[in-house]
Amino acid sequence: MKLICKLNHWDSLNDIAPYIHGVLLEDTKQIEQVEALELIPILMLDQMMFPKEVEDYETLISKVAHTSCLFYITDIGLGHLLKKLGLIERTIFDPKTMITNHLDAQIYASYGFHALGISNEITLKDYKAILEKTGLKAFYQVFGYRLMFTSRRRLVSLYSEKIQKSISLANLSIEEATRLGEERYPICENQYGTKIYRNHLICLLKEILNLPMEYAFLDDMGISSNVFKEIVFLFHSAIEQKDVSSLLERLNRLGLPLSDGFSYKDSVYMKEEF
Amino acid sequence: MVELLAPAGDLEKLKIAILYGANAVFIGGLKFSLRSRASNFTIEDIKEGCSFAHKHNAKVHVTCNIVMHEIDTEEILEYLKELERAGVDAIIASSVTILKLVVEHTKMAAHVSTQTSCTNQEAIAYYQELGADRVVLARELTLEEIADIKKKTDMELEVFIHGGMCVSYSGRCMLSNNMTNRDANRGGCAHSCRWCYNLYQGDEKINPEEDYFAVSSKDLCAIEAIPRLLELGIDSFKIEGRMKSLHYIATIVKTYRTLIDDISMGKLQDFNIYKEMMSKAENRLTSTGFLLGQPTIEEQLYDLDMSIPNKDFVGIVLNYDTKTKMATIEQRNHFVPNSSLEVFGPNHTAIIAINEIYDKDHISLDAARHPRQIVYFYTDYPLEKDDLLRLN
Repeated sequence: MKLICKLNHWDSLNDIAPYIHGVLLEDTKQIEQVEALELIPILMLDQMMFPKEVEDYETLISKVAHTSCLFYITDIGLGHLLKKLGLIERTIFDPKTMITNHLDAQIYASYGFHALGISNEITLKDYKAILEKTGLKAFYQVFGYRLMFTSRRRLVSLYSEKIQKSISLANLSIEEATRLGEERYPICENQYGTKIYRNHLICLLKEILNLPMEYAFLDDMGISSNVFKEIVFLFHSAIEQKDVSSLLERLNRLGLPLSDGFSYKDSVYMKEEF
Repeated sequence: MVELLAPAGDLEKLKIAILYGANAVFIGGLKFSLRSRASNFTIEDIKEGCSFAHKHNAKVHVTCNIVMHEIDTEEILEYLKELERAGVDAIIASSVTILKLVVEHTKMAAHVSTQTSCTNQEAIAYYQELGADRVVLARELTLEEIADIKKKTDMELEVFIHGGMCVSYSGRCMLSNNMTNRDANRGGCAHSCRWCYNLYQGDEKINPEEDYFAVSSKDLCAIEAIPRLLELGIDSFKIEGRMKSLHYIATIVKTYRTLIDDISMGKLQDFNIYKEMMSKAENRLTSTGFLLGQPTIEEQLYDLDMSIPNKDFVGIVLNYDTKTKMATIEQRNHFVPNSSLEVFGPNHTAIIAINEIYDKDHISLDAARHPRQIVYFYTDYPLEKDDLLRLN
C-alpha cells in the first residue's frame, strides 16, 4: 500500500516526504521536484475534457511522457486518449461514482488501466468484495473532505453577479437554509467549474490495514499544514502496523469533524414501490 | 430523419407521446432504472407498449441506467433477455457491464446514458469500441462543441432538447446521497440542488437575507437551437421527464414535432409561436442551458418557487359519437358547464364552447370535480379519441 497526498500546502512537502510514497500534482512543473524526493508524481487531469481541448491534452501528456509520472483521470475520454498514446498502464482512472461493482470494475481493469478509483458511495464491505473478486489495484480516499458535486457552471461567480457583490473564491462553504441545520459544505470554484465537498472528513485510520488497496489517498484541503503532517504520520504508522489504538487516541486529540461516510451504511435504493 | 424521443412514465403516456408525434419513447422497467418514483413498467406493460409503438412505426428504449452496487448485479442478463423478448428496441445504460451484455447477448441497440457525461469524441470512441450504438451526450456541451464532436465520430448521437437539467455532471452528483442518504445514482435523487443555501466566507454569511445561494438550473428548452441541431445531423432529440404529466408530454412533444416538421418543409415560423404552444404545459422556467454558450445568470434558477403550475388541462376524450354528437371525457382537472375549451389533438386544435355537463346517468352536473370522473357533453365539433381538452 502506498500513501498518496494532494497538497494545498505545498511547502510541507519536504516535511511529509519521508512518510508518503507519492503526490498528486496539478502542475507539470512540480514533477521534477517530486521525482527528486524519490516519490511518485501523479499528474492530476481530473477535469472533464471538451472537444477543442483534446489536442491540448495530447500535447501536455506527450510533454511529460518521458518522466516517471502517473496520470490521474476521471474522464474515460482521457483514458481513451492515453491508451492511444501508449500510456494506459500509467493511468489511474477514477470516475468517482461509477465503479461500484466487480463486473464494471473488471471491464475497466481489462482496458489496461494501472489502477482504478473505487466509488466512495459504497460500503467498505462492497469495496472489499470488488477487490477480492477482481484483484485490481485500487485508488481510494482514506482521509479528507470527499467530493460530492462537480459542475461545469461557475456557480459562485454567477451568484456574485446576481447579487452584484464581489465574492472572493477562497474559504467558501454553503449551508442548507431550512432542512439540514448548521452543516457547512466546502465549495470551490476555478476555471473548470464548481466543486462541493462533504461537510465531514473521512478518516479510515482504524480500517486501513484491512482494506486492500494500492494507493491510499489523503487530501489536505481545509486542513492546516501542522494537522495534516500529524495525519500523514498517523497513517504512515498504521500501515507500518504500529499499535492502532494509540494512533486513534492521537487522532481524537486533533478534534477533527470526522464521519464514516458510506463505509458502514448503504444508501437508500428507492425501488419501484414509489 | 431525426428521432424525436419522448419520456413515458406509464402506458397511457407512452401512447399519447407516440400519437402526438414522438418517433420513440424511453421508459423505465421495474429493475435497473433511475427515476424510481416514475411509475415504471412491468414486462407485460412493456410488451403492450412495444406492440403499440411498433404499429405506429415508433421505437421503445428502456432505461437500465442505475449505477449498480454489488447487490444489484444478479440476474441482469436474464432481465435484458426478457426485455428483448418483449420487443424493446434499445437499452439505455451507464454501466459498462450492461452495455456489453446488450451488445454481446442481444439484438437490441446499446445506448450510452447521459449519466456517463460524455463530453468529447474520445469518450465516444471508448464506447464505440465497446460496441455501443449510440451516445447520449452530456448536457454541458455547447452547440459548437456538439458540432465538433459530430465531425469526429460516426457514432449515433442523442442530444437533450427539453426538460430538467442536472446542474452537476450527470452521474457524478452525490449531493442527495450525502445529504439525505438517498442515492441519486440508484434512482433516489432528493433534488438537493434545488434547495436554498446560505453562502459563507469563513464564518461570515455573505448572501443577503432571504436571497439564497442556489445551485439549481432552469429547465432546458432548445427551441432556438433546433435548426442548428438538425443541420448538424444529430440522430435523436430527447425530451426529459418520465415523471411529467400526460398533458405536459403531449404539449411538449407536439410542439417539437411541429417545429421539426416546419423546418423540414421550409416553413419555420417565429420561435415565439412554438414557445406559446409550449407555454400551455406546466413548464418550470426554461433556458437554453449550455447550448448557446456558457450559462449566465439567466440560465440559473435563483427563485426556487418560480415553477409554473398549470391546472388548465381538464380532460381527455375517450369517445365521440358522431351521430349523437356526444363526447365522453375522462376528467383530469375541475371544469364547469358553459366553458370555452381548447381541443388539442395530435393533428388538430380548435376552440369549442360547451353547455351542460352530464354524468353517466345523464344527470346534469354543476361541475366535473372528481379526478378521472367520466363525464359527457354535446359538441358539434368532431372530437377524436385521445384529444386533450384544456381551458381556453
